[in-house]
Amino acid sequence: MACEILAGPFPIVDTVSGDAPIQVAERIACYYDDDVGLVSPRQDGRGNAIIQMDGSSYVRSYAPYASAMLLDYQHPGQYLKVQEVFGSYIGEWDKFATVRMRTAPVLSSGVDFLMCARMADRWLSFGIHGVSWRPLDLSADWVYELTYDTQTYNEITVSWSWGLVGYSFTEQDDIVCIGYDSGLAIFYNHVTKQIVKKYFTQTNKGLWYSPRFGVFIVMGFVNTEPRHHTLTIFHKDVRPYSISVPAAQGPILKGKTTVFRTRVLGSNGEPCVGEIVTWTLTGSGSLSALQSIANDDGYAEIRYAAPVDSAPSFDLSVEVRF
Amino acid sequence: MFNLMWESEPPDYGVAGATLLGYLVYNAYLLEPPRVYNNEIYRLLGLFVMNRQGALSSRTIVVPAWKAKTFWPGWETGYYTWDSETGECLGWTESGLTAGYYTGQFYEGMGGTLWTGYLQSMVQVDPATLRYIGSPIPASKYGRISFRTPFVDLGADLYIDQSEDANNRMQAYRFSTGEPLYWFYVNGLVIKVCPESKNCFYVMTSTDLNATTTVLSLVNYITGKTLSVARSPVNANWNGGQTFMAWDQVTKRLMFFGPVVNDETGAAITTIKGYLPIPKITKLTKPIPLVPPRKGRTVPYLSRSVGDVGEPLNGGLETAVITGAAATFGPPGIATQSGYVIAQAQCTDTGTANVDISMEVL
Repeated sequence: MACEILAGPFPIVDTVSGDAPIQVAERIACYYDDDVGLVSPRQDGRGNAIIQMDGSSYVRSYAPYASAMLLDYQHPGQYLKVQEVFGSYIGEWDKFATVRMRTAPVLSSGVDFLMCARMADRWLSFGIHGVSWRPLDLSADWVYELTYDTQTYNEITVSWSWGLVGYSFTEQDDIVCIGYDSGLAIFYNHVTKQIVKKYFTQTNKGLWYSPRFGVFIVMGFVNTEPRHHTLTIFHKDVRPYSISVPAAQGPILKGKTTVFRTRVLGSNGEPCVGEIVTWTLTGSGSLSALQSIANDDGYAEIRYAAPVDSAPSFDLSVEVRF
Repeated sequence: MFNLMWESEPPDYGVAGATLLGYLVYNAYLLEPPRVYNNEIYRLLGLFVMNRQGALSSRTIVVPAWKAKTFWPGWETGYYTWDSETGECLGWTESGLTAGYYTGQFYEGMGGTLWTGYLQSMVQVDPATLRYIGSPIPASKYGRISFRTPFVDLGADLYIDQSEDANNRMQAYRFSTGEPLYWFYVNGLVIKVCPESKNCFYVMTSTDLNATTTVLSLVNYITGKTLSVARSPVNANWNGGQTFMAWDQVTKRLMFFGPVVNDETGAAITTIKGYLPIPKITKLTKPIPLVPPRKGRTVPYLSRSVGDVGEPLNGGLETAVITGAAATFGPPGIATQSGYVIAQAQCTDTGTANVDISMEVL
């Protein structure tokens, strides 16, 4: 775990029928949208549950089965649903009413279960090996437009892991958030076809991003009676896990100042940004300040002034408080 | 959840009484003590409002029904009326007709038209006299097996009904020719439909086969777009049909009636309830910090005010009481269009803090 938990885990409950914990559909059969909430068909067949961040849920519409929800970048903020019961097709979805829209299917044949998002010019599929694409008219088969490096692949396919669990819009139209059940969230730029950033949350059954509030919504499962799903909210900021021993950035000389540097990292080795580092000096000399703030790479710096009249003899320690 | 604005008297079963011929008693259960009335509503057939003089208003609420009674022939059809202002039950009018279409339900169309039908055929009814207009229309005209929840808009030449392919879909036909035109999905399995305003109707649906949740959708039936969704104030069996609703365009009440329940003496105790169909906030979600709390930081706490289908509702005024290692910062929040409301906490120290929020619902 690396990103910091803000709240949770909250059991997903049926608020109307007295807060009984419930099981809902997982992974790509759900979508999270800030206008609505997390939308997921209930496993007891009672319909589409509208779930808020604190796990409270309400039934809004009929949902006899669960099927994949797709991002529609041709109408950013809207979704498509794969319909599987009466023939396979992909239709536009009214996210507010949580019903299929009356418009003609956007794809009435050739639906395959790799499709994750409809872009302006192609279909996208998110997998454990990378991101692949197909033309909108399906005239060619899937081709990888980005193949993950070995480290990313390993971060996705740790031993207990299965793969893709969700995808979300982000603040930027050219970046999509791809979630994996290992807890990895990849911010992928579908224009430059590059990974922009990676975040680590926790093992899960579903991982979505809230563009309006900059937090991750992570679904968990409690496998003891009463079995139910949970939601945990993670911040994008990395929770500090380690801080390095302060290192001098130059020679320490009598009467001179020297920059000392330390680095605050999360459990997956990613930098912690904006954390306040407290410096403690014992011995001779003085510090330019008592605290400094970690920069975008997780480094925090301080200037040490050595005494003018004697050889420096001191001990410098650092601490992050949270 | 809607606000209850108005409630009627229960239907009046008249004076307690026996039968004319004591030895020839139909439906003898009606007279088993402590029951005393010689009739009861056996089946509801509709609910609508008509422009007819009541005691104190120009609008009358009409409930056609099928009654069981103790004397020959053991049943009768007719309608109850209520004054739409006072809620006073104005009594029962026997329709004078025997079997036939009056055993079917009544369906209100757009523009005050009224229709009745049973399974394979449907006929227009004069709202003033409840007599037929024209001849019955067979369901086969529309390529259907039966009528289910028929809705007719004569102005737009439309007949719309629950699809026979999927229970959560509605199919529109050209009324005059029977040509199928288009279909659209609604929020659940269709129970009842009633007109609201131009091009719009309310659809009462069940979101599952066991009728656990009944929701109301306001749907534009020309575009097929669901305009709003709210939880129905009454729960209804999705295929039973003993619950009826009607929209009164004058008083702006969404009215519900049924199923009819009697007390132990046999008197009806069910009333017509009229609601203002504006959803109310029923839940304020737990506050969630949007940044990790640290000493010296001001942390926004997010919560959301929603109604009972999870719909975001705005306008509520939030009050936050923050104790412990943090203090309330800034003015109270007001829920936005999406229902989100933020309270600010200024973290004054390391340790823990409690954030208690409440909302004044306007």
